[in-house]
Amino acid sequence: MFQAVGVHGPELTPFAHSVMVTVLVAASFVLLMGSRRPHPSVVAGLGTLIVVAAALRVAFQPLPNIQPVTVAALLIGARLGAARGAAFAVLVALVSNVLIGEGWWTLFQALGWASVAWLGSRCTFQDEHGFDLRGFIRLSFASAFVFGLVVSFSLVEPGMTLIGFAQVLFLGLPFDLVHAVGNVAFAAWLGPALHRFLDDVRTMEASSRAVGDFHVVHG
Amino acid sequence: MRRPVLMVIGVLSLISLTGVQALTPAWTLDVGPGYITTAPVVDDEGIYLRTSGFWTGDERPRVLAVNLDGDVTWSRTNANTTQHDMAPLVLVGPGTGPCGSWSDLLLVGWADGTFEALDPNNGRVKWSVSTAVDGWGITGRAALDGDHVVVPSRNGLVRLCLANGAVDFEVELGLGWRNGVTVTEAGYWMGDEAGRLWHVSRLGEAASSVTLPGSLRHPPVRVGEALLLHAQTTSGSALMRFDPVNQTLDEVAMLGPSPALPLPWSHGAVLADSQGLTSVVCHDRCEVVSNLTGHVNGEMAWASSTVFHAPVNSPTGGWMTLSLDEEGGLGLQSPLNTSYDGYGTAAPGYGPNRLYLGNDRGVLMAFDLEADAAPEGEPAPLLASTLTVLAFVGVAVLASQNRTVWAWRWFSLILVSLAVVLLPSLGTAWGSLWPVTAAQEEGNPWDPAWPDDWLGTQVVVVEFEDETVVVGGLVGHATVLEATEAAAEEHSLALELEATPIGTYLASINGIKGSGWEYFIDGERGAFAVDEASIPPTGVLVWRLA
Repeated sequence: MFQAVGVHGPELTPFAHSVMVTVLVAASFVLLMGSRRPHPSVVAGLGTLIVVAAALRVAFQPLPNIQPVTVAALLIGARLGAARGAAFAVLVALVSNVLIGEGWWTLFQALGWASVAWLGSRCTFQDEHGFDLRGFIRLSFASAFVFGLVVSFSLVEPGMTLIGFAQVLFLGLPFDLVHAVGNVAFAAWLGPALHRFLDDVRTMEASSRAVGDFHVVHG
Repeated sequence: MRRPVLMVIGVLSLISLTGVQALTPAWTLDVGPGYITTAPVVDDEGIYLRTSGFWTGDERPRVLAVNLDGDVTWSRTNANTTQHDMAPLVLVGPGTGPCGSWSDLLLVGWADGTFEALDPNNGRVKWSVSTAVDGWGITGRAALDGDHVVVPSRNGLVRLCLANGAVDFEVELGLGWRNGVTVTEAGYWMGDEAGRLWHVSRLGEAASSVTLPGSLRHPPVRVGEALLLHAQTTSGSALMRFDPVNQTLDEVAMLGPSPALPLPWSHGAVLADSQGLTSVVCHDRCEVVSNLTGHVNGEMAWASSTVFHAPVNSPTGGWMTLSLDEEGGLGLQSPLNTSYDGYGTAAPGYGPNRLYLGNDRGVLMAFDLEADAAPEGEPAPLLASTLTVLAFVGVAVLASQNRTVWAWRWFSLILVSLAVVLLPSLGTAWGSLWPVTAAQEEGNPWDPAWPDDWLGTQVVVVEFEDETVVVGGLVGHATVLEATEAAAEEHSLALELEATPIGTYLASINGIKGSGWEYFIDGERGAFAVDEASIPPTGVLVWRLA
């Protein structure tokens, strides 16, 4: 609940807040650029998803802990890689919190969704029939608890014991459960369409690289 | 394989939904502002009830009479009461005794110390007596003794003549809260906040007989020659049997926090608290016979010789229906659920083929009962139940047509809806499962420098950076929000509250926001919105800047 309301942690001075935003933006830039420059289709695709995910997050804000971003981060991590998934996570957290409320927790929300993206990158969600919807739903459910765990660290304060932190995690479980159930719904409804969209982005990038390579070889 | 699984889940969900009984009232009457915290009293003419609350604005509590059609026939407001009025109303038929004659009376004890006899027909005051006030006045049940009424005042006991209110005697005992009087052949028994059990003879001679390890907040229960006492301790409650002849005090059981008013029965009593219900059978000694889980902190009442009702004091609470067999075994029957379920401490009122319910929502509800039959339930709220059932049927149909993906999609939507709706009660119930650790026990923020009068009450501490404000002696506040507002009123603190979709949050105190305010109840960090978080009747609420 603290996570949902987002009023906890140290109060950031304007300078500290600027530093945090700068670091997060820089991190997302580094993650996005990675070892090779992304194709414009990837940038456009990710940009679209960031806007849509942030808008959905704001729209679902009245419902406690219903987080459409988690499912998107998971699938982007799986289809476009951990680094791009993490960049998406950081930018969605920053953009949506402009409307929902910024603070210390933004850092942990970004880390939480980046962790989910990394988790997604360990999977392909592909089976012999194409998109593995069941596997995606299962991991969407589990990723709520990963996100909950990471964001709970924002509640750690000086003097908090291990038992105190365990209590924070324990009390948060019902909220994580609602998050998980919401993820299942988003995965079931939006998973296939999002998967197709990301595959298109991948295909465009792959084909443009192939064309580029052809020009290099034959140019 | 998937289709059968979906079908089974759909059918089971359907069964579980239709198993929830919600009553449809014959009429409802919003009597607020304020709560209904004591049972409505019913006679052939109508229903008498009172409102209660902690009053900070212009509104004040009242006693009102309602006819059988749900129309208010009269209403009497007490402009002087600001604390919770927990004393049950007592209806007395006409009679004659050595001290005089009286007609029908409605006896009302107020938290401002006034004890009144009203005419039930028009609400006019027949006589009125003032008793001691120390923060509050009368909060316990008065008892009838022949041509007298014995009133538990804030600091003792007063015996009055029913005919004219003449004071027979007045004795000073300990400070009390919700501590009613029990009448026996030997006189009167009453407990106090310090855990002392007092005996007062009919001549007005008082003696402290024994001290228990907690506050006594109910009329002692007669079990044969002995008394059964349920004392509220700092972390739970102690059930004790006291033998007045041999002056022995035996522990019967250690039970949960915030005890309810015990419900006597022929072989013992039913006790309740925040953890559950316990039946006790007493012969030469008292023994626990049966337990059930539940959250009951107020009154319980017999619906018949073997069935009783208990209000569930939780955000979604209705009324438990329970059976008690000859051996003391407790049984759970279909609960009573209404459209106004929520926190509640008031037992139902029973009239001829009518059941009257009220809780903290402040709405009196009348339900028609079939003669000699238990209340019939029907699914409600009708629209929500019907939509849910139709949704499950739709899921089952999709699954049967092998459209499994679509079945899962709709099923997940239903699950999300249920999860969001159930989250507040689930969160509260889940939070109560966390065991209180030794460190938290040690961290109990009670300050020995605080007045002893504050023991057994609610204390609110606000820790500013440069000073700490402490307000004690608060009673009867059910939520963190109520207790905080009471403390703010007493110490002129300005609260800024923020409504969010998942509850109310305290944004600032005296304009100070910092990084947000956190609260701790008896050293334990709060995890819920302030209007959702319940606070025990005895404890320390600390507000601290994050």
